[in-house]
Amino acid sequence: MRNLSFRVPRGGTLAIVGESGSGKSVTSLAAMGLLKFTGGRVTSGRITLNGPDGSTEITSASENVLRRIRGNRVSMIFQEPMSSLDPVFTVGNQITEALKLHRGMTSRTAKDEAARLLDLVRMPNARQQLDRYPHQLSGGMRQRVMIAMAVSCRPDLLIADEQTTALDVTIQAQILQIIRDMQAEFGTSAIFISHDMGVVSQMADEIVVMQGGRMMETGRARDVILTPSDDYTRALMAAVPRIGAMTGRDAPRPFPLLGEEDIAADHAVPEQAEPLVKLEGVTTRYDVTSGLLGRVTHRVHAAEDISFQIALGETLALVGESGSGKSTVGRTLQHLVAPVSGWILYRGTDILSLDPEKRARFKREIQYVFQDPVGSLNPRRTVRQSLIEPMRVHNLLTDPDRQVAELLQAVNLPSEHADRYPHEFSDGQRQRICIARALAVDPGLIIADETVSALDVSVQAQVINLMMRLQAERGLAYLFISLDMAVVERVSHRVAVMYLGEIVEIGTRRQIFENPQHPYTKRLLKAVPVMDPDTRPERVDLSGDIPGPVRPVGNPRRPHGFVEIASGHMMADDHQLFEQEQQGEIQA
Amino acid sequence: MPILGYIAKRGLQAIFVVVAVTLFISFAIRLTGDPAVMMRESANVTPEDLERVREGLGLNRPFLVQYWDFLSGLVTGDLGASFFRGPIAPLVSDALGATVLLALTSLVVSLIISIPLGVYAARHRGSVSDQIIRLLSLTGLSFPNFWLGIVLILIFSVSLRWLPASDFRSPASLIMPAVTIGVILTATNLRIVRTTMLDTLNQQFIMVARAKGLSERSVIYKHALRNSSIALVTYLGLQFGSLMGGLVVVELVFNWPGMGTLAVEAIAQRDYPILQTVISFLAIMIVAVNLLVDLVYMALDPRIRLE
Repeated sequence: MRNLSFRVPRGGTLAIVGESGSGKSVTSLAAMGLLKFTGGRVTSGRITLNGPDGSTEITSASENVLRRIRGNRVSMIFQEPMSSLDPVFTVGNQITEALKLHRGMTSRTAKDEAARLLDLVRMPNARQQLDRYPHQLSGGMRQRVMIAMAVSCRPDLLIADEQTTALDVTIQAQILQIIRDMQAEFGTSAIFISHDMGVVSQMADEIVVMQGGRMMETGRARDVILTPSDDYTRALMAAVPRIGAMTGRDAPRPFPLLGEEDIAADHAVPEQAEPLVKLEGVTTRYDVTSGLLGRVTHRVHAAEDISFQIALGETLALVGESGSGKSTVGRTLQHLVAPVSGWILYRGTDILSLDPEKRARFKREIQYVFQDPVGSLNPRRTVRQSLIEPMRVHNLLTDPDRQVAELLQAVNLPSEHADRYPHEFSDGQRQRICIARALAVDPGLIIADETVSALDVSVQAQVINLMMRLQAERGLAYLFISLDMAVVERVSHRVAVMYLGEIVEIGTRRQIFENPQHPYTKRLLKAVPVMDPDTRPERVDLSGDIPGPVRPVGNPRRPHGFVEIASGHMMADDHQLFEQEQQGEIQA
Repeated sequence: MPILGYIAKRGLQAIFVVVAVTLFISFAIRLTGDPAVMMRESANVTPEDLERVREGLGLNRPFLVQYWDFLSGLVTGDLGASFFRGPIAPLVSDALGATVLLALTSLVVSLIISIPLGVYAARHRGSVSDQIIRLLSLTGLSFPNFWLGIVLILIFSVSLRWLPASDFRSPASLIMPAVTIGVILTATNLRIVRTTMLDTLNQQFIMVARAKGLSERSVIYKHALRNSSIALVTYLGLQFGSLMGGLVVVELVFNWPGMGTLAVEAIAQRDYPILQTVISFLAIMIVAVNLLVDLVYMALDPRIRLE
């Protein structure tokens, strides 16, 4: 990183945006004087903290001075709530640490103050939570603990590094709300580090755009978002999926990326007589055993009574938050797990009743592309080996060299790269290789499980455009599993919203996004941060967490039917029950 | 309390382990020779004499009857008598005491040395002192323990005449056997501490602790060490069996009057009752240590506490 300058005004919020490797996290560590613990250092320049008792130079301060500043005048919220808290100490212990250290409190008063702080971040039963351990809390609750810890000494500056990236959207909305409340309460300045333009647009007064360790653009948030002056910023903004950008269009269309504007045409589904794949009443549960004899006491109701169909050339998006069972549906469809009941018809054949040999043929027809391209490619195999293997298994290998070259070409990779290993590629390229591997066996349906979620926005847009092009060329059907509503709006023909293992609403993209009916769908859509600096976000309800789908044996959720809103637009008829549950009137 | 249920479950397991191990040992040792033959002192013993000896020792009864007698003795606390050396109970209790003393001394000494050194090496990874510590640890690992024992005896007993070479007469007798075991233990523990500490120091919650403004001491000895000690405890539990194996050899080298020496003597004399008892106690000890490790593990790591 070099030559970066910015100032954060008192009480104001600055956002640093950029893609991976842009140096935005290094900036935050430097501001805390923590860089030396990662093996880096500030070679030139100054970082100054101005406070009521004079200013401090972070870059030249001694470790003793820095320790008094850290957690006290400058504090930080880290990205991964799952790994930011020490697993072996209670939440209370970890919050009181800073209070005792910086505010000289005794154990007893620190504990009271910690309870008050947890209350402030709207932690239910704050006092009891003090004695719990991090693993007993959900990601959203842990992030609340982190925030309570960060504001415990009323810092002048709060640095939040991708603080909501790992969270579900409804939880993200709560956390952002809490941070805004804390800033208002304590008059804290903040630096937000994020790749999510929606979040940035909601929180920031000023924006710094970084790429490859350089500052590309800086200015007032509104100006940078609406009228970016730098080419990189413009490209970045074009690649950001914006919810509502597709309003009024029936069919999905690719991102209008620089140099790819010509392909931005609608992708309609071709007319056809029967669906490619059809699920009817598919239910998948996992047993939870306990006790000496391993009796089944609870069941995870991962997918309950799931019915939908996908036509050739169509994309059905499955959206929902953690524990909604969307990945279970994907795995059931690829027979990685066996359903308890229900039918899966593929081109009219009931594939669950087939004998294993015949079923193998259908395994070829349905391919999976996972979220993590690093973990799903064998690091000791070249791209060629990874591509050839599935073709050999299914006896499709005729001319290996030509086939590999064609596959790489199809995903826009040079065929000379066939003999490289996965680590020689970027994340986006690796995800293309995974797609090529899925294409190798000429499938009818590809299950894309969070395929683009971990990618930088510009890369994400390219991969999505690629997937849409392949769909048009080959008539592929996609089951697109995602929690990013803006991406879903861009790619899908139809959308199914899942909550606790059940489909609560299904319909065409326009029906779901333009006329959502089920309260959960509405809540989900409202929680998505919108990249529009002119609308300030609505206040969200701060209570509540996402419940889990584990239920005791013999106590299944009450089955529900569907009401038809419009042709092809169905909503679960339990919506009143859902609203009552949300208000805590009855137990789920 | 679920914890009591858990202990009961492990106790049940211990019973199965002891039965399985002793049954096997009792059976196997009977294949290797006849104690009656070992007992005859002169060459002119008649077959009738041998039969009388067997009858006297109860060896003419069916194997399972003999085994059942032993098991019921173990349960009622009546360990019976050895073939050659009188009542077993005092023999085994003396030997057990000596072995536990030796094992605990080596363990404590090794932890006192390996934890600070391992932490230091992890914090100064790649530095000269880290290299030296790793080299020392590798050297320690490379010594076969019997050889180290003999070399120590040659230096400190034979040449310098500072320490007694064998037996357990004074606290000074403890030094060399404990050092011999301790060197190997320290060398491996050092590596475990260093590696797990390095892992832990790279965790995000360590950076969070630093970002709170905690002192390095608090970061290292409160947050990092408690987390890395989980792996160390697991490893110590797994290592206990081989530590016992090592003890047997070292006890023999120093003629240390422990369980190992007792077992080896009993094997040489085909003294079934002693051997069966020693093996049972070793099996119980291993199960007990593993239970202890599990309990410590639960105390250290709330994630695996029973719900």
